[in-house]
Amino acid sequence: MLCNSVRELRARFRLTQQELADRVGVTRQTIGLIEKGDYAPSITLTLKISYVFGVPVEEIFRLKGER
Amino acid sequence: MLKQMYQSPLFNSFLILCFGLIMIGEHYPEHVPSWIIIDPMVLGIPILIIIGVIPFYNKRNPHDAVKASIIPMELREEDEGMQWITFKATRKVYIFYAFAIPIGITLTAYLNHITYFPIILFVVMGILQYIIYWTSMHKYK
Repeated sequence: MLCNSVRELRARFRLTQQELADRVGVTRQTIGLIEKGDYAPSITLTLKISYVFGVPVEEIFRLKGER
Repeated sequence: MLKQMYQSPLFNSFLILCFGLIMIGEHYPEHVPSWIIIDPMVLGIPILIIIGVIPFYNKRNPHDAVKASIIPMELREEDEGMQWITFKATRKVYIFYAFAIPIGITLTAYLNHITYFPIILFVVMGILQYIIYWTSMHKYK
């Protein structure tokens, strides 16, 4: 399972789900799905999210069990 | 509000139910109780009103207009996340039909004494399709 820290980063950057969604060009629901771990985003979307937060993809997304 | 209503699978399943009842009442009146016989206009007039309102709705909401398309409006395909939800929901509906069609054929053969049974079957399958779709979509909201 793909875990992520989008919620924590979003809180740190003081962004709402809608604001992050607007920046990466998806709907608020999609950000919600990613944060809940229901949906594993595409490589393109993953990269867009990492660009918004300015951190490497590996710091946001990791497989369960990985450090 | 109007678009949400169109996109609602529950609205579509209600339309299918009404349409099925009207067809049974129209074509098999001698086989069903009189209270089931519904005048087609009970459904026709609200549908005409809803269709008639679309141009006014589109004028007021040009960025969220209701467009004529063969793709059902309940499919959510705004972005990859929504496409994934639609994929999950339609997959469940496909699995449902894979079982429902052979079962439906068998039931039609065995219950051939009920002349309007195929209509009931279509209505039930149609409603179940929308319920499966709606519950699946609702799960991820």
